[in-house]
Amino acid sequence: MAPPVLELDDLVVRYGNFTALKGVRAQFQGGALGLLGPNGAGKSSMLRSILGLVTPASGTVRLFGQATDKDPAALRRRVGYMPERDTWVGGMSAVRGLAHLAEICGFFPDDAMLRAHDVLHFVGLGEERYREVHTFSTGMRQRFKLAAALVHDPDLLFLDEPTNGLDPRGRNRMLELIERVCHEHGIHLILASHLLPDVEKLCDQVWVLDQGELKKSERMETLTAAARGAKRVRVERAAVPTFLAAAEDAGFELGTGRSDTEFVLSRGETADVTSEEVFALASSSGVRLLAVQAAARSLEDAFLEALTGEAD
Amino acid sequence: MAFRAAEYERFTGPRRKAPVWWPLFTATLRRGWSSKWVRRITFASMMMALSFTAMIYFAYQVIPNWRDLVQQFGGAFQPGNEEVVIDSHAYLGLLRMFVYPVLLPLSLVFGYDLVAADLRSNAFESYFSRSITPLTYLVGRTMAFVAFLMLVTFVPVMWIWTFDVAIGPDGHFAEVAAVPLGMGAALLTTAIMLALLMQAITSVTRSGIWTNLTFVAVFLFSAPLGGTLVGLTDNYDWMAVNPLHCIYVFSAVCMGTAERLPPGTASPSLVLGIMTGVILASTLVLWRTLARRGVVG
Repeated sequence: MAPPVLELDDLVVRYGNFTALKGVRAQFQGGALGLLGPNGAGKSSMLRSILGLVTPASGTVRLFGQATDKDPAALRRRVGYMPERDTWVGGMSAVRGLAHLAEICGFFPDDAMLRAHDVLHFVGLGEERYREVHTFSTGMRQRFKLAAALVHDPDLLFLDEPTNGLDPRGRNRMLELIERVCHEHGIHLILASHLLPDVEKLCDQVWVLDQGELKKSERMETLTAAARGAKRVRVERAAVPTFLAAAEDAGFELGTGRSDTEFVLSRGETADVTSEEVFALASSSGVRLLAVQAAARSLEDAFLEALTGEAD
Repeated sequence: MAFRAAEYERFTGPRRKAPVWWPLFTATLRRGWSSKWVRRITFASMMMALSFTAMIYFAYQVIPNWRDLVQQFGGAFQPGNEEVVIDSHAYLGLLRMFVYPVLLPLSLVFGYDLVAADLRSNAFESYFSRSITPLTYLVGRTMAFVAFLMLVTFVPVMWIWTFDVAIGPDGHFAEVAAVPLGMGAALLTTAIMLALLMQAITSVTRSGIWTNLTFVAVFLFSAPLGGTLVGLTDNYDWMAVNPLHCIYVFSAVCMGTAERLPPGTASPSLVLGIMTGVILASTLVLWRTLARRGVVG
């Protein structure tokens, strides 16, 4: 059995007195992983640990079954990193710059140049490949960064906000490119993004980080299926205790809503909650319902729940 | 290449085992050579060497005993010396001829934007997320810089030396035998110092223009400053504030002729200390810049 693509074992990263990652323990078996978290959550520290650029205070990071502190340079050849900030090698055309990066990853010069041409064609910059990158538009720079991450044919892609600054058409095009690379060629993906629809579209697994801790590690279908068939119910403030007691007595599972008078009624993952059941519950407990609607939980709901510690 | 399909393909070809700094080394050389001023200075340096050898050749053709005449009458221009001997020490003049008009301008046009361009384009993020480390970056860039400086100075000087030895009188080889090693050591150390200093300045200024201005200011004002300080203190060690003076004294040390330096030069040990200090300080500045601004993620 192949080892996990990424394995964090009690990972602690410290910068002086500040602890950026507090004993994170997780496994990514492969596929596409969405890395979510607010600013300062520890995403960059995790990335730097994965690339072997910081030495953990304790714990280990294993990439493709190998500890990253053993031979980080060799492991980095298997990772394609697309940073959030623009980056290119100055004084070179796009194609020459990419060939240079491929050579750094062990390509022979001729192969590197050929590969640079191919990858630039793939991301749609074939016609612009002899231009210097600083003359590119924002969308072109994003595509160039994706090309730079792909040029040495990595086994794992780490993309940091790949759709930043793109218009809707450009964003769709970028997501489509990433999807093709990862799904058709078996390249594993770790996607860090604040745009949850992007993560929802591309990823099959999600890690939610906050304040250096891993708050949630779930498969996407589990996250979104958790509230399948549930109902979002809003009641009068004075009736909240009565309604909660009645719902518990009737065997419903209760989740928090968007306000303190709103709740999500469910019966686990197996059975749906019907509107008739909700009306019957309200009638039997004498509570007046203000709203009843299907509680389709999005990734955003799961993310917010994970951050506020109110999940499940 | 008529048509390329816009499809992603996995790479199945072989990968080489070359050291990681090698692509940086070759890219730096290519980048330097792409500057027309670098090419012009290189060409001028080669022309200087060819002209010099042609001059020696024609001097032999016209005045076969020109070497004896120079040795007998050249002393008149050197107070304290009764006779000029064309030996290793005489090559110091040749070294000056290549350091002042070749090495310094070449350092400027080759290295003025080397680290600054990478800082501006955030290239470190691309490099350090791959196999490049700050150390390999420094090695790759500096070795290319130094190799180019050596190519444009040491090679012409060796051409002249070979010609001089080939057509010189019997026993002349023994007089100039120290030149290849001494000149090589002097130029190599000078090239390393200039390459590191230039990169350190460019890493701080992050601008090609400011790097050039700083570099020129250091070399332009240090000579009068040294002279003024010597005048005020009567201590010739103050001459060592001038990097060119340091290079001159250091070269004499490398050729083993330090004891024949004219009065009014800084002490060789001080010069050695200063050059080592410049190399270490420049490396430290560069290292700090790479460590600080090369943060990935």
